[in-house]
Amino acid sequence: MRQTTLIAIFPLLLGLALLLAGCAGRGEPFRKPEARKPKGDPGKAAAEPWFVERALEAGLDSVNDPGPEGSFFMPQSMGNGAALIDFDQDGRLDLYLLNGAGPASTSVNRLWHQEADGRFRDVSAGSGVDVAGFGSGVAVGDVTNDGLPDLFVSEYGGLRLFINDGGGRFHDATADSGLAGRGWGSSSSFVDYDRDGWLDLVVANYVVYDAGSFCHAQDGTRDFCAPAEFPSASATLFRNTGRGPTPHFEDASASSGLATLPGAGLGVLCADFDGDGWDDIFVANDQQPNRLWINRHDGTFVDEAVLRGVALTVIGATAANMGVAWGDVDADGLSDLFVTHLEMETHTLWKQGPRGAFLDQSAAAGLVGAERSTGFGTVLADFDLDGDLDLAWVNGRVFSGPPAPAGTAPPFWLRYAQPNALAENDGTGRFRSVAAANSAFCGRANVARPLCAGDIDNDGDVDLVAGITAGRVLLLENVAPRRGHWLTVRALDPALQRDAIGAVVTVTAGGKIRHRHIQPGSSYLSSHDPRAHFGIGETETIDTLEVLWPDGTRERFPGGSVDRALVVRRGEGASP
Amino acid sequence: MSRRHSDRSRAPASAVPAGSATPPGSAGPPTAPRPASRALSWSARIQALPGWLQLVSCGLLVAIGTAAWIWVNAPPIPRPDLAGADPLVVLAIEDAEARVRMTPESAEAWGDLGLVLYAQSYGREAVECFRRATALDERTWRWPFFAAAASSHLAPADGVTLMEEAIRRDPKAVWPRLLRAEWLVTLGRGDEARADYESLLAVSPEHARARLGLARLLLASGDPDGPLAALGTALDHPSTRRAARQFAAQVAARQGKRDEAERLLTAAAALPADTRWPEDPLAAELPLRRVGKRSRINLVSQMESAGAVAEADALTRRIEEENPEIYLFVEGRLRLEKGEAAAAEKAFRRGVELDPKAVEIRFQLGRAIALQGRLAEAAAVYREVLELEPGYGPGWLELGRCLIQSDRVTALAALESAVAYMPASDEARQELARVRRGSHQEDQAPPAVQEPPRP
Repeated sequence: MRQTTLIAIFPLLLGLALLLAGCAGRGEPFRKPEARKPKGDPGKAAAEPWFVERALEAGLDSVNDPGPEGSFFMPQSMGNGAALIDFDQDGRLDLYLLNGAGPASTSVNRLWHQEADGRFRDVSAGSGVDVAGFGSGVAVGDVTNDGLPDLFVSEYGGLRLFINDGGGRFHDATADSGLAGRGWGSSSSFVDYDRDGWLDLVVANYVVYDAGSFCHAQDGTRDFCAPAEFPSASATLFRNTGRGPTPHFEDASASSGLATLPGAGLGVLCADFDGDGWDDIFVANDQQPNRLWINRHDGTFVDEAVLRGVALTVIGATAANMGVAWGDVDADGLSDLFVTHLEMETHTLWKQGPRGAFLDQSAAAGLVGAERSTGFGTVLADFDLDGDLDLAWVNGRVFSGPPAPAGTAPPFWLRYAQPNALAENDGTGRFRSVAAANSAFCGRANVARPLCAGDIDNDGDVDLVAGITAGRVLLLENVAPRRGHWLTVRALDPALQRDAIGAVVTVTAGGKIRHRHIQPGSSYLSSHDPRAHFGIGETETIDTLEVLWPDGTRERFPGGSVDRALVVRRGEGASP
Repeated sequence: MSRRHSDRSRAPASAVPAGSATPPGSAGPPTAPRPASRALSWSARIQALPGWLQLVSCGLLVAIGTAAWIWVNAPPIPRPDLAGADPLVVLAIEDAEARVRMTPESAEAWGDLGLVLYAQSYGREAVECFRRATALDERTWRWPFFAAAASSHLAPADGVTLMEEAIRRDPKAVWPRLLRAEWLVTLGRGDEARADYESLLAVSPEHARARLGLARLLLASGDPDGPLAALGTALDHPSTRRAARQFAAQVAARQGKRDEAERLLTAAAALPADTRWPEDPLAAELPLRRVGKRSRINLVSQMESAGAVAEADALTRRIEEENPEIYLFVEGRLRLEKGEAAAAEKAFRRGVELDPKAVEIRFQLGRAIALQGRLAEAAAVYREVLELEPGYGPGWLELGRCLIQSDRVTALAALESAVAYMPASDEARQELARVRRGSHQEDQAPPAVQEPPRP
């Protein structure tokens, strides 16, 4: 080629070369962080599923109604509760599901009876508990000591107490019960805090919501309001005075001290946090420090959440505390506390040690992984019977985010839907996600709030019920490959004719000591099976079984074989 | 034959592949030779140009090529889903995007877009913009800090890694080390967190938040004596002194020193609440970047609370200029306060035209009409409000009030709905009770809520 030609076309070639170089590939502007891969045994990672969903198969065709969409009425986003209750004491757990469409809606709360064949039958009509309202939390307990569990329902705007009359009938005893409130009750729990044999009631209250408020995301789109927009409310403590067959409660919130500190309460747990045998009251507060009301044995409580390390996270920050679970995750003999938070936070596991003192050990427990979620109801239970407590929680945002795939939830709720979570305990208190193998529970995004646990089919393992906002309830039958044996213990107080709520059952087997708390009230807006369930692992004999009764007395019961359901009665054991 | 003819007749080698000889019999008719003027090659034409013009042409081609390379090589601008977003938000984002398109190599342009996105809660897109700015500007730790801080809410581990660049650029900068230390603590990477805290304290020994953070870390890692020793100035700083004493009480309680713990708690309670720690550089940018109507209204409230009245007034005027429906809403409210219902109605009607979905404006329109005695018309407006917002308690209350004389049954139902949605409202309860007394009805429980009115 002639030199002049080359000179003439050089700029064009240069430009072409630059163009081609640009098209060859776009270098990353900045080094991307490497994706962290989860560690773990590859064999375990490919585990079989632990749950199958069978609500429809079991006849449980119950779809939650949270009320009309598009109004961003705040109680809609906080959910409606669920309870496992054997209301007819036939030995099979039944189900009570709340709706939130309002008092004149046709969507009433529903009572489902479990039949002998394991299917559920809607027995709401005529039950007396088929009421409509802005249902929130539910607690189960025999407040009249007549042998039949009663129902307490907290609502946005009120409280209801339903007394079990037997035969599948309840009557609304609210008006004469002394229970009153116009606020927004969330989770609730029965507890005999004064050891008088009558079940008292603690109700976490959320915020003083102004239904005339409009809240928006930063980009101007409508969204549900945040709790910080409104004054927070303190928890309410109702003392059961035990008068006659008609239950009567008096508001002990002020005298007990619980009313002295507000908190935007969402979760509540009544358990012995300081090891003195008296139940204390933990209230999980949304975006405020949690409260740990230590029972002073005289009808009063003092908040020691800061002292005992459960008020704040490990960096001293408040968090959006919602669901609560309690259990000894590392088998050191001390129960630990797990609380769910928002997706921009990490769920917190406070490990107890020394007794009565807690430290945030979420990271050491493997709970600060890459997957973030806004968690609500949560359960610690030994799902695979290997002897250690596993962890489950349900998810769903409270503020709008990237939408889930179409079809997974009603269109309005797609921006709030998230998949649920399930984690296996490796035996040391460290958890590893098994969500990938559990599509029935974790494979589909939803807006879930309550999560109840119990041996629904009485086959010795723990099943789950998850309430889905604007969706069908999930009935999750445990089908986990059994890695050990089990024992179920029902602790009854014959004098009180009821489950000994507040009792602690301790089982020694194979050199390991495990305890469970008889307390159906925990998680979020939920009530569980009141029986204590133990996974024993490979040991085939129970060495000893001891019960610390709510009044502080201890009794020892014979050990024996595994894989059975026991009923232990106060007064029938021996002094340890 | 001229040299040119001989050049043309000898076809370039590339035109005839080797071995592809024209098959016998396929040769086309011979082409006539071109006229001499067309015989000039394009290279010859270029050579015929003046030298300066050749130079300019070269430069132009280089420029075009370079621009093409830049355009092709420019990374895509991340765009969130803006469906339903405030038009001002959309406008602000588009403006920032335009600046990036104009100056794609400008770190400031990318960073500014990132800030606009992040202020409107589009975190993922903002992180991408900050990373681009980081790559374009090697000098400042600001952009990698923003990338890390924005990323930390979505993925703290990513935030930790991104913050490394900010620290590398300025090892003595406080904020990068402080935030990274806190994230590392949350992630359970205690040793690394401790290193960051200690590095920070080497530069800024009195940093109270770092001292308290280190103390917390030491406690979490099981150090029995280190936590209290680490507190130092945290016990005196107005942003940490109360929290530090509460922490010290926790340490004492863990050590079984109950009396000491109680003493420290009492001391903490006697102190005023800890003041808010100054915002980090990213958080400090956000308030002024939030351009949505609602965000700016909230900012006005914050300014007023902080005593910045003049600034609040200026922003209010600006909001009203840019959002005439807000101006009309405020104007209408002022008119109502003065008792000028007709003028208020006029303002609210205009506001509703401008923003038909604004429930508050429509609600106030209903009030203005009701105050003029046109109750049926007001009721219709309240029904529209409730159609937009079924759970709007005040709407049910006012609807009920409008219907008391004309349709008592529906009025009762509406008031019952008002009480249901506003259970703490004494006003709603009293109104319901009054109407019930007028209807000779006993107070009943529970109240009934009507389904939202249908058109």
